[in-house]
Amino acid sequence: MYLAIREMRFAKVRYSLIAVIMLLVAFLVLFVTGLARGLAYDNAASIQNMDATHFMMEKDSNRRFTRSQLSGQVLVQAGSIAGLQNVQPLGVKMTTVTAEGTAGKLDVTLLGIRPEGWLMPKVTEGAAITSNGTGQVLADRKLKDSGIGLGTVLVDQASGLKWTVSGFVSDESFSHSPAVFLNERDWQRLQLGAMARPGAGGAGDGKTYNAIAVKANKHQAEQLAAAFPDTEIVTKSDAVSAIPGYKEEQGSLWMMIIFLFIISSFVLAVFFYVITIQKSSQFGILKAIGTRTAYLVRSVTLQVLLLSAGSLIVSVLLVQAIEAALPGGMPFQLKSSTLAYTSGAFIAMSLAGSLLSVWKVTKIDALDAIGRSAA
Amino acid sequence: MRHRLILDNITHTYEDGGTQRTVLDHLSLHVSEGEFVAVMGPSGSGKSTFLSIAGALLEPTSGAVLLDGESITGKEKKALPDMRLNKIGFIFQSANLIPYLKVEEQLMLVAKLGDMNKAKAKERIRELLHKLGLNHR
Repeated sequence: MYLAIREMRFAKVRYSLIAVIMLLVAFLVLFVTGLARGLAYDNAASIQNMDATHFMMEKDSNRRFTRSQLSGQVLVQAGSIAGLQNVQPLGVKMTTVTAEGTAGKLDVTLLGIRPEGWLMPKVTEGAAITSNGTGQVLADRKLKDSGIGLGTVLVDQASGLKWTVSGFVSDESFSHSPAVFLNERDWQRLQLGAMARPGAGGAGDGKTYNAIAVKANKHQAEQLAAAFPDTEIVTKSDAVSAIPGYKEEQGSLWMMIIFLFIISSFVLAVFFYVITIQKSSQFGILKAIGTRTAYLVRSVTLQVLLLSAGSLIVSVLLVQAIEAALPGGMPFQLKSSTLAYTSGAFIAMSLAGSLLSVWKVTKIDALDAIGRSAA
Repeated sequence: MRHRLILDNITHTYEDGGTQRTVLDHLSLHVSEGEFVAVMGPSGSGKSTFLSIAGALLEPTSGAVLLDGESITGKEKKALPDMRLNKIGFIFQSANLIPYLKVEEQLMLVAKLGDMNKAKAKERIRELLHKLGLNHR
Protein backbone atom coordinates (compact mmCIF):
# COMPACT_ATOMS: atom_id res chain seq x y z
CA MET A 1 0.00 0.00 0.00
CA TYR A 2 2.73 2.34 1.13
CA LEU A 3 4.71 2.16 -2.09
CA ALA A 4 1.76 1.97 -4.45
CA ILE A 5 0.07 5.12 -3.22
CA ARG A 6 3.25 7.15 -2.91
CA GLU A 7 4.33 6.23 -6.40
CA MET A 8 1.00 7.25 -7.88
CA ARG A 9 1.19 10.52 -5.98
CA PHE A 10 4.67 11.11 -7.36
CA ALA A 11 4.00 10.22 -11.01
CA LYS A 12 0.71 12.08 -11.30
CA VAL A 13 0.82 12.79 -15.02
CA ARG A 14 1.63 9.23 -15.98
CA TYR A 15 -1.10 7.72 -13.88
CA SER A 16 -3.72 10.31 -14.71
CA LEU A 17 -3.16 9.72 -18.42
CA ILE A 18 -3.89 6.05 -18.05
CA ALA A 19 -6.77 6.82 -15.72
CA VAL A 20 -8.34 9.02 -18.39
CA ILE A 21 -8.06 6.25 -20.98
CA MET A 22 -9.62 3.79 -18.56
CA LEU A 23 -12.34 6.27 -17.76
CA LEU A 24 -13.23 6.72 -21.41
CA VAL A 25 -13.28 2.98 -22.04
CA ALA A 26 -15.36 2.33 -18.92
CA PHE A 27 -17.78 5.05 -19.94
CA LEU A 28 -18.15 3.55 -23.39
CA VAL A 29 -18.66 0.07 -21.94
CA LEU A 30 -21.40 1.30 -19.65
CA PHE A 31 -23.05 3.44 -22.29
CA VAL A 32 -23.12 0.72 -24.94
CA THR A 33 -24.36 -1.77 -22.33
CA GLY A 34 -27.16 0.59 -21.41
CA LEU A 35 -28.00 1.06 -25.05
CA ALA A 36 -27.97 -2.70 -25.69
CA ARG A 37 -30.25 -3.34 -22.75
CA GLY A 38 -32.47 -0.43 -23.72
CA LEU A 39 -32.79 -1.57 -27.31
CA ALA A 40 -33.45 -5.13 -26.18
CA TYR A 41 -36.23 -3.90 -23.95
CA ASP A 42 -37.61 -1.54 -26.55
CA ASN A 43 -37.60 -4.32 -29.11
CA ALA A 44 -39.40 -6.94 -27.11
CA ALA A 45 -40.90 -5.11 -24.16
CA SER A 46 -44.37 -6.56 -24.59
CA ILE A 47 -43.13 -10.13 -24.67
CA GLN A 48 -40.70 -9.54 -21.81
CA ASN A 49 -43.40 -7.94 -19.69
CA MET A 50 -45.54 -11.03 -20.03
CA ASP A 51 -45.70 -13.33 -17.06
CA ALA A 52 -45.45 -16.44 -19.22
CA THR A 53 -42.67 -18.99 -18.92
CA HIS A 54 -43.27 -20.60 -22.29
CA PHE A 55 -45.07 -19.95 -25.54
CA MET A 56 -46.73 -22.56 -27.69
CA MET A 57 -46.27 -21.95 -31.39
CA GLU A 58 -46.89 -23.79 -34.58
CA LYS A 59 -44.20 -26.29 -35.47
CA ASP A 60 -42.85 -24.75 -38.66
CA SER A 61 -43.03 -21.16 -37.56
CA ASN A 62 -39.34 -20.89 -36.68
CA ARG A 63 -40.38 -19.62 -33.26
CA ARG A 64 -41.77 -16.45 -34.72
CA PHE A 65 -45.01 -15.17 -33.32
CA THR A 66 -46.13 -13.61 -36.57
CA ARG A 67 -45.66 -16.83 -38.57
CA SER A 68 -47.35 -19.17 -36.17
CA GLN A 69 -51.05 -19.97 -36.24
CA LEU A 70 -52.91 -22.04 -33.66
CA SER A 71 -56.58 -22.91 -33.44
CA GLY A 72 -58.84 -22.37 -30.48
CA GLN A 73 -58.94 -26.11 -29.93
CA VAL A 74 -55.28 -26.17 -28.98
CA LEU A 75 -55.99 -23.54 -26.36
CA VAL A 76 -58.75 -25.64 -24.80
CA GLN A 77 -56.64 -28.80 -24.78
CA ALA A 78 -53.55 -27.03 -23.46
CA GLY A 79 -55.70 -25.62 -20.70
CA SER A 80 -56.72 -29.10 -19.64
CA ILE A 81 -53.05 -30.11 -19.31
CA ALA A 82 -51.44 -27.04 -17.76
CA GLY A 83 -54.52 -25.73 -15.97
CA LEU A 84 -57.03 -23.27 -17.41
CA GLN A 85 -55.57 -20.43 -15.41
CA ASN A 86 -52.13 -21.01 -16.83
CA VAL A 87 -52.82 -20.58 -20.54
CA GLN A 88 -53.69 -17.40 -22.35
CA PRO A 89 -54.26 -16.90 -26.07
CA LEU A 90 -52.09 -14.35 -27.81
CA GLY A 91 -52.47 -12.80 -31.23
CA VAL A 92 -49.62 -10.88 -32.80
CA LYS A 93 -49.92 -8.98 -36.05
CA MET A 94 -47.76 -6.24 -37.39
CA THR A 95 -49.69 -3.77 -39.41
CA THR A 96 -49.98 -0.18 -40.52
CA VAL A 97 -52.70 2.11 -39.22
CA THR A 98 -53.72 5.66 -39.83
CA ALA A 99 -55.36 7.90 -37.30
CA GLU A 100 -58.67 9.02 -38.72
CA GLY A 101 -58.50 12.55 -39.96
CA THR A 102 -54.73 12.54 -40.47
CA ALA A 103 -52.68 11.41 -43.40
CA GLY A 104 -49.68 9.95 -41.58
CA LYS A 105 -49.28 6.20 -41.41
CA LEU A 106 -48.02 4.43 -38.33
CA ASP A 107 -46.48 1.00 -37.95
CA VAL A 108 -47.89 -0.78 -34.94
CA THR A 109 -48.12 -4.31 -33.63
CA LEU A 110 -51.59 -5.50 -32.78
CA LEU A 111 -51.68 -7.78 -29.78
CA GLY A 112 -54.87 -9.74 -29.21
CA ILE A 113 -55.35 -10.73 -25.58
CA ARG A 114 -58.03 -11.57 -23.03
CA PRO A 115 -58.49 -8.36 -21.04
CA GLU A 116 -59.24 -10.22 -17.82
CA GLY A 117 -56.29 -12.60 -18.27
CA TRP A 118 -52.73 -12.16 -17.04
CA LEU A 119 -51.41 -10.86 -20.34
CA MET A 120 -53.32 -7.63 -19.82
CA PRO A 121 -50.90 -4.72 -19.34
CA LYS A 122 -51.38 -2.05 -16.73
CA VAL A 123 -53.35 0.91 -18.01
CA THR A 124 -51.60 4.15 -17.19
CA GLU A 125 -54.13 6.55 -18.66
CA GLY A 126 -57.76 6.31 -19.75
CA ALA A 127 -59.99 3.29 -19.39
CA ALA A 128 -59.12 -0.39 -19.74
CA ILE A 129 -60.67 -2.56 -22.44
CA THR A 130 -63.11 -5.33 -21.57
CA SER A 131 -63.98 -8.65 -23.18
CA ASN A 132 -67.50 -7.59 -24.06
CA GLY A 133 -67.06 -4.38 -25.92
CA THR A 134 -65.78 -4.05 -29.44
CA GLY A 135 -63.75 -1.42 -31.17
CA GLN A 136 -61.84 -0.31 -28.07
CA VAL A 137 -58.06 -0.61 -27.91
CA LEU A 138 -55.17 0.28 -25.63
CA ALA A 139 -52.20 1.97 -27.26
CA ASP A 140 -48.61 2.39 -26.21
CA ARG A 141 -47.72 5.79 -24.86
CA LYS A 142 -45.17 6.36 -27.61
CA LEU A 143 -48.03 6.79 -30.06
CA LYS A 144 -48.92 10.00 -28.24
CA ASP A 145 -45.92 11.61 -29.91
CA SER A 146 -47.55 10.84 -33.25
CA GLY A 147 -50.66 12.78 -32.33
CA ILE A 148 -52.77 9.93 -30.99
CA GLY A 149 -54.89 10.80 -27.98
CA LEU A 150 -57.74 9.28 -26.02
CA GLY A 151 -60.67 8.75 -28.36
CA THR A 152 -58.61 8.86 -31.54
CA VAL A 153 -59.90 6.40 -34.12
CA LEU A 154 -57.30 4.13 -35.70
CA VAL A 155 -57.98 2.62 -39.11
CA ASP A 156 -56.21 -0.59 -40.06
CA GLN A 157 -54.84 -0.28 -43.56
CA ALA A 158 -55.19 -3.96 -44.45
CA SER A 159 -58.64 -4.78 -43.14
CA GLY A 160 -60.24 -1.37 -42.89
CA LEU A 161 -61.34 -2.07 -39.32
CA LYS A 162 -61.63 0.89 -36.98
CA TRP A 163 -60.75 1.06 -33.31
CA THR A 164 -61.02 3.81 -30.75
CA VAL A 165 -58.16 4.37 -28.36
CA SER A 166 -59.68 4.06 -24.92
CA GLY A 167 -56.50 4.09 -22.87
CA PHE A 168 -52.74 4.12 -22.86
CA VAL A 169 -50.17 1.68 -21.56
CA SER A 170 -46.46 2.36 -21.14
CA ASP A 171 -43.39 0.46 -22.33
CA GLU A 172 -45.22 -1.90 -24.62
CA SER A 173 -43.63 -2.66 -27.97
CA PHE A 174 -42.84 -5.51 -30.30
CA SER A 175 -39.99 -5.46 -32.82
CA HIS A 176 -39.51 -1.72 -32.13
CA SER A 177 -43.06 -0.86 -33.12
CA PRO A 178 -45.48 0.38 -30.49
CA ALA A 179 -48.09 -2.13 -29.37
CA VAL A 180 -51.85 -1.79 -29.63
CA PHE A 181 -53.91 -4.18 -27.48
CA LEU A 182 -57.28 -5.52 -28.66
CA ASN A 183 -59.65 -7.88 -26.94
CA GLU A 184 -60.40 -11.35 -28.29
CA ARG A 185 -63.53 -10.35 -30.10
CA ASP A 186 -61.81 -7.62 -32.10
CA TRP A 187 -58.94 -9.96 -32.74
CA GLN A 188 -61.21 -12.62 -34.24
CA ARG A 189 -62.92 -10.05 -36.41
CA LEU A 190 -59.53 -9.07 -37.73
CA GLN A 191 -58.71 -12.72 -38.40
CA LEU A 192 -61.93 -13.48 -40.21
CA GLY A 193 -61.00 -11.40 -43.17
CA ALA A 194 -57.54 -12.84 -43.43
CA MET A 195 -58.08 -16.51 -42.60
CA ALA A 196 -57.47 -18.71 -45.57
CA ARG A 197 -56.45 -21.91 -43.85
CA PRO A 198 -57.06 -23.50 -40.49
CA GLY A 199 -54.23 -23.27 -38.00
CA ALA A 200 -52.44 -26.20 -36.46
CA GLY A 201 -54.76 -28.38 -34.42
CA GLY A 202 -57.74 -28.35 -36.76
CA ALA A 203 -60.39 -25.79 -37.56
CA GLY A 204 -62.16 -26.14 -34.21
CA ASP A 205 -64.45 -23.29 -33.36
CA GLY A 206 -62.94 -21.11 -36.01
CA LYS A 207 -60.85 -19.04 -33.62
CA THR A 208 -57.19 -18.65 -34.38
CA TYR A 209 -54.31 -17.24 -32.42
CA ASN A 210 -50.62 -16.83 -33.08
CA ALA A 211 -49.39 -18.33 -29.88
CA ILE A 212 -50.48 -19.49 -26.47
CA ALA A 213 -48.73 -18.03 -23.47
CA VAL A 214 -48.23 -20.68 -20.82
CA LYS A 215 -47.19 -20.60 -17.20
CA ALA A 216 -45.75 -24.04 -16.74
CA ASN A 217 -42.96 -25.86 -15.00
CA LYS A 218 -40.56 -28.03 -16.93
CA HIS A 219 -42.61 -31.15 -16.46
CA GLN A 220 -45.80 -29.54 -17.73
CA ALA A 221 -43.93 -28.09 -20.69
CA GLU A 222 -42.78 -31.56 -21.64
CA GLN A 223 -46.31 -32.87 -21.30
CA LEU A 224 -47.58 -30.13 -23.57
CA ALA A 225 -44.90 -30.86 -26.12
CA ALA A 226 -45.87 -34.53 -26.12
CA ALA A 227 -49.59 -33.80 -26.39
CA PHE A 228 -49.28 -31.47 -29.37
CA PRO A 229 -46.97 -32.84 -32.03
CA ASP A 230 -47.86 -29.96 -34.35
CA THR A 231 -46.70 -27.32 -31.93
CA GLU A 232 -43.48 -26.27 -30.39
CA ILE A 233 -43.01 -25.18 -26.80
CA VAL A 234 -40.65 -22.24 -26.80
CA THR A 235 -39.21 -20.67 -23.67
CA LYS A 236 -39.75 -16.96 -23.23
CA SER A 237 -36.12 -16.04 -23.84
CA ASP A 238 -36.01 -18.12 -27.04
CA ALA A 239 -39.19 -16.49 -28.23
CA VAL A 240 -37.71 -13.06 -27.54
CA SER A 241 -34.53 -13.76 -29.46
CA ALA A 242 -36.56 -15.05 -32.40
CA ILE A 243 -38.22 -11.65 -32.84
CA PRO A 244 -37.02 -10.28 -36.18
CA GLY A 245 -33.85 -8.23 -35.76
CA TYR A 246 -33.45 -8.94 -32.06
CA LYS A 247 -30.50 -11.31 -32.26
CA GLU A 248 -28.71 -9.29 -34.93
CA GLU A 249 -29.08 -6.04 -33.02
CA GLN A 250 -27.96 -7.53 -29.72
CA GLY A 251 -25.17 -9.49 -31.37
CA SER A 252 -23.41 -6.47 -32.81
CA LEU A 253 -23.76 -4.47 -29.61
CA TRP A 254 -22.44 -7.34 -27.52
CA MET A 255 -19.49 -7.73 -29.82
CA MET A 256 -18.64 -4.08 -29.17
CA ILE A 257 -18.95 -4.54 -25.43
CA ILE A 258 -16.78 -7.64 -25.37
CA PHE A 259 -14.14 -5.96 -27.50
CA LEU A 260 -14.13 -2.94 -25.20
CA PHE A 261 -13.50 -5.25 -22.26
CA ILE A 262 -10.62 -6.90 -24.05
CA ILE A 263 -9.20 -3.55 -25.13
CA SER A 264 -9.32 -2.14 -21.61
CA SER A 265 -7.58 -5.21 -20.29
CA PHE A 266 -4.84 -4.93 -22.91
CA VAL A 267 -4.35 -1.19 -22.46
CA LEU A 268 -3.77 -1.74 -18.77
CA ALA A 269 -1.57 -4.75 -19.43
CA VAL A 270 0.70 -2.83 -21.80
CA PHE A 271 0.89 0.24 -19.58
CA PHE A 272 1.83 -1.67 -16.47
CA TYR A 273 4.17 -3.99 -18.33
CA VAL A 274 6.16 -1.06 -19.73
CA ILE A 275 6.26 0.65 -16.34
CA THR A 276 7.33 -2.57 -14.66
CA ILE A 277 10.14 -3.10 -17.13
CA GLN A 278 11.24 0.48 -16.61
CA LYS A 279 11.27 -0.06 -12.87
CA SER A 280 12.87 -3.49 -12.88
CA SER A 281 16.14 -2.27 -11.34
CA GLN A 282 14.13 -0.51 -8.66
CA PHE A 283 12.26 -3.70 -7.92
CA GLY A 284 15.66 -5.42 -7.79
CA ILE A 285 16.88 -3.04 -5.09
CA LEU A 286 13.70 -3.46 -3.12
CA LYS A 287 14.13 -7.19 -3.29
CA ALA A 288 17.82 -6.90 -2.30
CA ILE A 289 17.03 -4.91 0.83
CA GLY A 290 14.58 -7.60 1.79
CA THR A 291 11.18 -6.85 0.29
CA ARG A 292 9.13 -9.94 -0.27
CA THR A 293 7.88 -10.58 -3.81
CA ALA A 294 4.33 -10.84 -2.49
CA TYR A 295 4.57 -7.26 -1.22
CA LEU A 296 5.59 -5.97 -4.65
CA VAL A 297 2.90 -8.02 -6.37
CA ARG A 298 0.31 -6.59 -4.02
CA SER A 299 1.62 -3.12 -4.74
CA VAL A 300 1.21 -3.51 -8.52
CA THR A 301 -2.22 -5.12 -8.17
CA LEU A 302 -3.39 -2.37 -5.86
CA GLN A 303 -2.38 0.26 -8.38
CA VAL A 304 -4.35 -1.50 -11.10
CA LEU A 305 -7.31 -1.84 -8.78
CA LEU A 306 -7.21 1.81 -7.74
CA LEU A 307 -7.00 2.97 -11.35
CA SER A 308 -9.82 0.80 -12.65
CA ALA A 309 -12.10 1.35 -9.66
CA GLY A 310 -11.48 5.10 -9.72
CA SER A 311 -12.19 5.40 -13.44
CA LEU A 312 -15.22 3.19 -13.04
CA ILE A 313 -16.75 5.31 -10.30
CA VAL A 314 -16.31 8.50 -12.31
CA SER A 315 -17.74 6.89 -15.44
CA VAL A 316 -20.75 5.51 -13.55
CA LEU A 317 -21.49 9.04 -12.37
CA LEU A 318 -21.02 10.33 -15.92
CA VAL A 319 -23.32 7.70 -17.40
CA GLN A 320 -25.98 8.46 -14.84
CA ALA A 321 -25.72 12.15 -15.61
CA ILE A 322 -26.04 11.40 -19.32
CA GLU A 323 -28.97 9.08 -18.68
CA ALA A 324 -30.79 11.83 -16.87
CA ALA A 325 -30.08 14.23 -19.73
CA LEU A 326 -31.18 11.85 -22.49
CA PRO A 327 -34.60 12.39 -24.04
CA GLY A 328 -37.23 9.95 -22.79
CA GLY A 329 -37.71 8.28 -26.16
CA MET A 330 -34.08 7.15 -26.27
CA PRO A 331 -33.87 3.42 -25.62
CA PHE A 332 -31.43 3.40 -22.75
CA GLN A 333 -31.74 1.14 -19.75
CA LEU A 334 -29.11 0.49 -17.13
CA LYS A 335 -30.47 -1.29 -14.09
CA SER A 336 -28.35 -1.44 -10.98
CA SER A 337 -27.91 -5.19 -11.38
CA THR A 338 -26.57 -4.76 -14.92
CA LEU A 339 -24.38 -1.95 -13.65
CA ALA A 340 -22.98 -4.19 -10.92
CA TYR A 341 -22.27 -7.06 -13.33
CA THR A 342 -20.60 -4.76 -15.84
CA SER A 343 -18.47 -3.07 -13.19
CA GLY A 344 -17.45 -6.42 -11.77
CA ALA A 345 -16.47 -7.68 -15.19
CA PHE A 346 -14.53 -4.49 -15.88
CA ILE A 347 -12.48 -4.81 -12.70
CA ALA A 348 -11.92 -8.51 -13.31
CA MET A 349 -10.64 -7.77 -16.81
CA SER A 350 -8.30 -5.08 -15.45
CA LEU A 351 -6.88 -7.50 -12.94
CA ALA A 352 -6.40 -10.03 -15.72
CA GLY A 353 -4.46 -7.33 -17.55
CA SER A 354 -2.14 -6.89 -14.59
CA LEU A 355 -1.14 -10.56 -14.58
CA LEU A 356 1.63 -9.99 -17.12
CA SER A 357 3.28 -7.37 -14.89
CA VAL A 358 2.87 -9.51 -11.81
CA TRP A 359 4.60 -12.35 -13.59
CA LYS A 360 7.39 -9.98 -14.60
CA VAL A 361 7.81 -8.75 -11.03
CA THR A 362 8.20 -12.26 -9.71
CA LYS A 363 10.90 -12.91 -12.30
CA ILE A 364 13.07 -9.93 -11.34
CA ASP A 365 16.24 -11.02 -9.57
CA ALA A 366 17.65 -9.17 -6.61
CA LEU A 367 21.05 -9.37 -8.33
CA ASP A 368 19.79 -6.79 -10.85
CA ALA A 369 20.35 -4.23 -8.13
CA ILE A 370 24.09 -4.56 -8.35
CA GLY A 371 24.13 -4.24 -12.09
CA ARG A 372 24.08 -7.95 -12.83
CA SER A 373 27.85 -7.86 -13.17
CA ALA A 374 28.13 -10.85 -10.89
CA ALA A 375 25.99 -13.15 -12.97
CA MET B 1 35.34 -12.32 19.83
CA ARG B 2 32.12 -13.47 18.18
CA HIS B 3 32.09 -14.02 14.46
CA ARG B 4 28.97 -12.57 12.91
CA LEU B 5 29.64 -13.63 9.35
CA ILE B 6 31.31 -16.89 8.56
CA LEU B 7 32.06 -18.09 5.04
CA ASP B 8 33.27 -21.63 5.12
CA ASN B 9 34.96 -23.22 2.14
CA ILE B 10 32.93 -21.36 -0.48
CA THR B 11 33.18 -22.43 -4.12
CA HIS B 12 31.21 -20.78 -6.88
CA THR B 13 31.32 -21.75 -10.55
CA TYR B 14 29.64 -20.29 -13.60
CA GLU B 15 28.78 -22.00 -16.83
CA ASP B 16 30.53 -19.93 -19.49
CA GLY B 17 30.33 -20.94 -23.11
CA GLY B 18 30.27 -24.62 -22.30
CA THR B 19 33.20 -24.50 -19.88
CA GLN B 20 33.00 -24.40 -16.11
CA ARG B 21 34.61 -21.27 -14.73
CA THR B 22 35.44 -21.35 -11.08
CA VAL B 23 35.27 -17.83 -9.67
CA LEU B 24 35.59 -18.56 -5.98
CA ASP B 25 37.70 -21.55 -5.07
CA HIS B 26 37.41 -22.83 -1.50
CA LEU B 27 37.23 -19.40 0.07
CA SER B 28 36.89 -19.06 3.83
CA LEU B 29 36.34 -15.82 5.75
CA HIS B 30 35.38 -14.90 9.29
CA VAL B 31 34.16 -11.42 10.10
CA SER B 32 33.80 -10.39 13.73
CA GLU B 33 31.53 -7.83 15.29
CA GLY B 34 32.92 -4.32 14.81
CA GLU B 35 35.40 -5.45 12.22
CA PHE B 36 35.75 -3.51 8.98
CA VAL B 37 36.68 -5.51 5.89
CA ALA B 38 37.50 -4.15 2.45
CA VAL B 39 37.72 -6.44 -0.54
CA MET B 40 40.04 -5.32 -3.31
CA GLY B 41 40.98 -6.86 -6.60
CA PRO B 42 41.10 -6.27 -10.36
CA SER B 43 38.00 -6.41 -12.50
CA GLY B 44 36.69 -9.90 -12.95
CA SER B 45 38.42 -11.31 -9.90
CA GLY B 46 35.15 -12.29 -8.22
CA LYS B 47 34.48 -9.39 -5.82
CA SER B 48 30.86 -9.06 -6.83
CA THR B 49 30.23 -12.78 -6.66
CA PHE B 50 31.76 -12.84 -3.22
CA LEU B 51 29.62 -9.91 -2.06
CA SER B 52 26.47 -11.39 -3.55
CA ILE B 53 27.05 -14.57 -1.61
CA ALA B 54 27.95 -12.76 1.59
CA GLY B 55 24.85 -10.55 1.13
CA ALA B 56 22.54 -13.56 0.83
CA LEU B 57 21.65 -12.64 -2.74
CA LEU B 58 23.28 -15.65 -4.33
CA GLU B 59 23.73 -19.22 -3.18
CA PRO B 60 27.22 -20.65 -3.55
CA THR B 61 27.78 -23.82 -5.53
CA SER B 62 29.23 -25.43 -2.45
CA GLY B 63 30.23 -24.42 1.04
CA ALA B 64 28.38 -22.85 3.95
CA VAL B 65 27.51 -19.24 4.78
CA LEU B 66 26.58 -18.52 8.38
CA LEU B 67 25.03 -15.20 9.30
CA ASP B 68 24.80 -14.82 13.08
CA GLY B 69 25.18 -18.59 13.26
CA GLU B 70 22.32 -19.16 10.80
CA SER B 71 22.98 -20.85 7.51
CA ILE B 72 21.69 -19.10 4.38
CA THR B 73 22.02 -22.18 2.21
CA GLY B 74 19.26 -24.72 1.99
CA LYS B 75 16.75 -22.17 3.27
CA GLU B 76 13.32 -21.59 1.91
CA LYS B 77 13.12 -18.96 -0.80
CA LYS B 78 10.86 -16.83 1.32
CA ALA B 79 13.21 -16.75 4.29
CA LEU B 80 16.08 -15.06 2.45
CA PRO B 81 14.42 -11.65 1.95
CA ASP B 82 13.59 -11.59 5.65
CA MET B 83 17.19 -12.29 6.51
CA ARG B 84 18.43 -9.55 4.22
CA LEU B 85 15.88 -7.17 5.66
CA ASN B 86 16.80 -7.76 9.28
CA LYS B 87 20.50 -8.59 9.25
CA ILE B 88 22.12 -6.86 6.32
CA GLY B 89 22.45 -3.28 5.16
CA PHE B 90 23.27 -2.54 1.55
CA ILE B 91 24.87 0.41 -0.15
CA PHE B 92 24.98 -0.14 -3.88
CA GLN B 93 27.44 1.10 -6.46
CA SER B 94 25.20 3.94 -7.54
CA ALA B 95 23.09 5.28 -4.71
CA ASN B 96 19.94 3.39 -5.55
CA LEU B 97 17.12 5.04 -3.73
CA ILE B 98 13.46 4.77 -4.60
CA PRO B 99 12.98 7.93 -6.65
CA TYR B 100 9.46 8.73 -5.54
CA LEU B 101 10.02 8.57 -1.80
CA LYS B 102 11.13 11.38 0.49
CA VAL B 103 14.04 10.91 2.87
CA GLU B 104 11.83 10.04 5.76
CA GLU B 105 9.73 7.73 3.63
CA GLN B 106 12.78 5.83 2.41
CA LEU B 107 13.62 4.98 5.98
CA MET B 108 10.02 4.37 6.88
CA LEU B 109 9.70 1.82 4.09
CA VAL B 110 12.32 -0.45 5.62
CA ALA B 111 10.72 -0.13 9.03
CA LYS B 112 7.35 -0.99 7.51
CA LEU B 113 8.75 -3.99 5.69
CA GLY B 114 10.23 -5.20 8.97
CA ASP B 115 6.92 -4.75 10.80
CA MET B 116 8.41 -2.24 13.20
CA ASN B 117 6.15 -0.36 15.57
CA LYS B 118 5.24 2.96 13.97
CA ALA B 119 6.06 5.24 16.88
CA LYS B 120 9.34 3.45 17.45
CA ALA B 121 10.20 3.74 13.77
CA LYS B 122 9.47 7.48 13.77
CA GLU B 123 11.72 7.93 16.77
CA ARG B 124 14.53 6.00 15.13
CA ILE B 125 14.18 7.90 11.86
CA ARG B 126 14.45 11.22 13.66
CA GLU B 127 17.49 10.00 15.51
CA LEU B 128 19.18 8.82 12.32
CA LEU B 129 18.44 11.99 10.40
CA HIS B 130 19.75 14.07 13.26
CA LYS B 131 22.93 12.05 13.40
CA LEU B 132 23.54 12.67 9.71
CA GLY B 133 22.63 16.32 9.90
CA LEU B 134 19.66 15.87 7.57
CA ASN B 135 17.09 17.29 9.93
CA HIS B 136 16.14 20.06 7.54
CA ARG B 137 15.15 17.65 4.78
